[in-house]
Amino acid sequence: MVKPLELGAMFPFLPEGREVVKTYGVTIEDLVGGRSWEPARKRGFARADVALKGEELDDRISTGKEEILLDEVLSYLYARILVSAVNDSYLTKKFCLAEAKQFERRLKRLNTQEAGRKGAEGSEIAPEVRRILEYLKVAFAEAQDGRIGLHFSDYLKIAGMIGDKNWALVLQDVKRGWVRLPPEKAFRILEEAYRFRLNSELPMPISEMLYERIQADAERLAGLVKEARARFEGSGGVLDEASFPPCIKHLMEMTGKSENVPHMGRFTMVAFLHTIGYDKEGLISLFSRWPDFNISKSMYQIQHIIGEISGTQYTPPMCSTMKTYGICFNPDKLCETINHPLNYYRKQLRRSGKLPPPELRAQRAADKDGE
Amino acid sequence: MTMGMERTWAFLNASFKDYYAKHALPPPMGFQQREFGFMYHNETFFRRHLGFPSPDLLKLDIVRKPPAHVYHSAAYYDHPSAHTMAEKGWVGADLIFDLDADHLEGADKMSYGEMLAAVKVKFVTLIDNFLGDELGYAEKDLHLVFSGSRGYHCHVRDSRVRQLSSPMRREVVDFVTGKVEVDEFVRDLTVEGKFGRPLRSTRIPGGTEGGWGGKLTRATVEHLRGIAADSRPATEKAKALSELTQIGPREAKALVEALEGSPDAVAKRIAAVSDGVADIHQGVGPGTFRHLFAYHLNRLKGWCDEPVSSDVKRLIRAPGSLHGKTGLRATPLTRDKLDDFDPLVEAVALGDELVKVSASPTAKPFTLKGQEFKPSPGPQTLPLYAAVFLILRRQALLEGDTPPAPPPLKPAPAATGGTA
Repeated sequence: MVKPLELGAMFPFLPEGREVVKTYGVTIEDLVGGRSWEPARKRGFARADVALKGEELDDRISTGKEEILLDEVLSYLYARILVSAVNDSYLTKKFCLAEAKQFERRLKRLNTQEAGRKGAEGSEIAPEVRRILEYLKVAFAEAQDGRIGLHFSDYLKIAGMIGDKNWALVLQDVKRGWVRLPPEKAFRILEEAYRFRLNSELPMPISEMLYERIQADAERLAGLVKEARARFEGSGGVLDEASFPPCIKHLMEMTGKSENVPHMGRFTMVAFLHTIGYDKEGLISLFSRWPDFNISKSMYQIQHIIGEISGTQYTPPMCSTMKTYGICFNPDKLCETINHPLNYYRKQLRRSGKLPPPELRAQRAADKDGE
Repeated sequence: MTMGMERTWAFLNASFKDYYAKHALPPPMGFQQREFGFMYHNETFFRRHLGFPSPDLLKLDIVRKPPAHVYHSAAYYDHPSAHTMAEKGWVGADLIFDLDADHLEGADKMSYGEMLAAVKVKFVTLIDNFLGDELGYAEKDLHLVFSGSRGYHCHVRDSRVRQLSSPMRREVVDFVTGKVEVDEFVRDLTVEGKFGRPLRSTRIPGGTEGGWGGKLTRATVEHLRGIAADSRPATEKAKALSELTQIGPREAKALVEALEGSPDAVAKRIAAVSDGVADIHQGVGPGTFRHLFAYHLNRLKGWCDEPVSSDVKRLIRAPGSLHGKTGLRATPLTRDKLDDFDPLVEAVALGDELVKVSASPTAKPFTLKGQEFKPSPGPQTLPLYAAVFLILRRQALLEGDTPPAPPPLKPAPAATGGTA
């Protein structure tokens, strides 16, 4: 068993984390202003800063030193306050991603430790892992050979966020409702669940009084966010027809030849082109080539898809949907690695060097918007 | 003789009304959150976006103007009667499986009864194998229904799947229908052999694994056992294997050879396959197992209508209602009942009082309640259920009515706008 303080430091979101804070009698007041918690605040700022840069924070837990473990818990709380105070979606996303990565690394290490401790018998799920599964509200069951069974409904909800064909349900070991995964695969799923959970908790409401206490750090962080955003967005919005996925190319060709594009194909094209940066006028001029082009009707359709009417901005459907509708044309090698036409486009841009490879992690976070 | 079909429509309405006056629809779970939709005899209008505070009010509406088709949403809504999705407030949806004999391979060559029998076999596989053994559903979570026409529906009412999005439901369909490349399960690995020398090795999933991997291995193991037990000469067996699975003649010969000889050695080889180590003989490689897997995948894959399952807003025929193209009841079933269920007997819900109809020259023979009817063109007397069946199939009118000329009756508009 891992000691409560160590567990709290590793997974500060668990009740053990709260327990630690209580045991040491640290109040929010202390945390944001107390002299003795200066290192915790520094560490908290670093947590957010490193996340923004897409880097990893050194893991100090293995030192086992009490004050370092305590700082670890508090730095998590402070980072949450800072991220909430800055209240920027890009920062929040990157912070959740980095925290989730760190969470996964810790889970893996914990698992290796526990397995080592228990030796060959170590086939059941470690109690700490159970706590985490419960916290994340993922239905689970013990499966043989140390594997972890996740209920297929939870599995689908979480694995869908990873967006990789290797996670397709049809490839998994499924028995009596449980998708049975070796620990390292289960942890990847939990990482995603944790990222989602943390993301749903942030930003927290920050009172004016609290804000004043952390203003200096918050403003410094906001400045860094601004720089990071500029770097990130500078690489987005690239329009490069050569990098379009084959389905979109084919639909464009059909349009060019004034062939009648099926409704779903039109929807896909508009949503795709809009997402990568075409404006309404550009779309209209392109689609004026449709044989049954009707300015008011087409305008309405386009406005609807790009969110001017209902407020919902549509993204193109996933590859599987397009296949269902028979508009997946000439899939190539790259198609085998993606499940969404926008991912094809991003990958192709990156490959051809038209999109400077930004932090892959940031992309992954941004991809979540596109699906 | 009056011209037109008014009496026929009035007759259908009266027959349906009588049924609904006597039989209340079993209210679906989450009744107040369901959207209802009706289509009527001789009307193309689809009346939908209906919500009912209580089953009594639903009955009142249905009896006042009996619909030809009654649907309810698979989805649960905050405001089922709102007209836009945003206002409706989607809360979740049952997971629906629809098996329709129309989509069955070779359905065009089957009689109605044969089609229904063939689709039932597929339905049983879906329930027992995929939804039961693999997805872990017990009977209480599964609501099975004969559709009243050409197929079966299964409503999975489980709070855990209610939130699944359309792409997630499609994954469940892919799982059921085995939409996967067998290459994913057959790996050609380089492993460390004796003295650290690299060796090529063919690996497949272990036979104890769940899902498609284990299933394909188990099927293959059974297959190999069968070949080993087959007393025909090796050349004959290899030829048969090659024809069945498209394995090349040389590989087939090698595989058959691997299964000949000392029973102990053969049992060991088969056990190795079952454990997932598939290099059992010179000349047997990943290609061999890809062919075997492809053959068994095709044989074992389940079947259902994908768009129905992946649609989270679809309307589905209400269990207990009458089907407007047959007059048969959409019949709720238990798993036990399903085995012996004969839809053409047990889904007959209307009475047998005699009705005078006039059959059209296109009228075809049919069997209901174990009785064979061979309508000849012109006036005749049929029991109510058979009269309604023939009329709804556009092959008869109430005697004295005349079809509008020309053309003869159009088939009822298909229930478009997302119904199953």
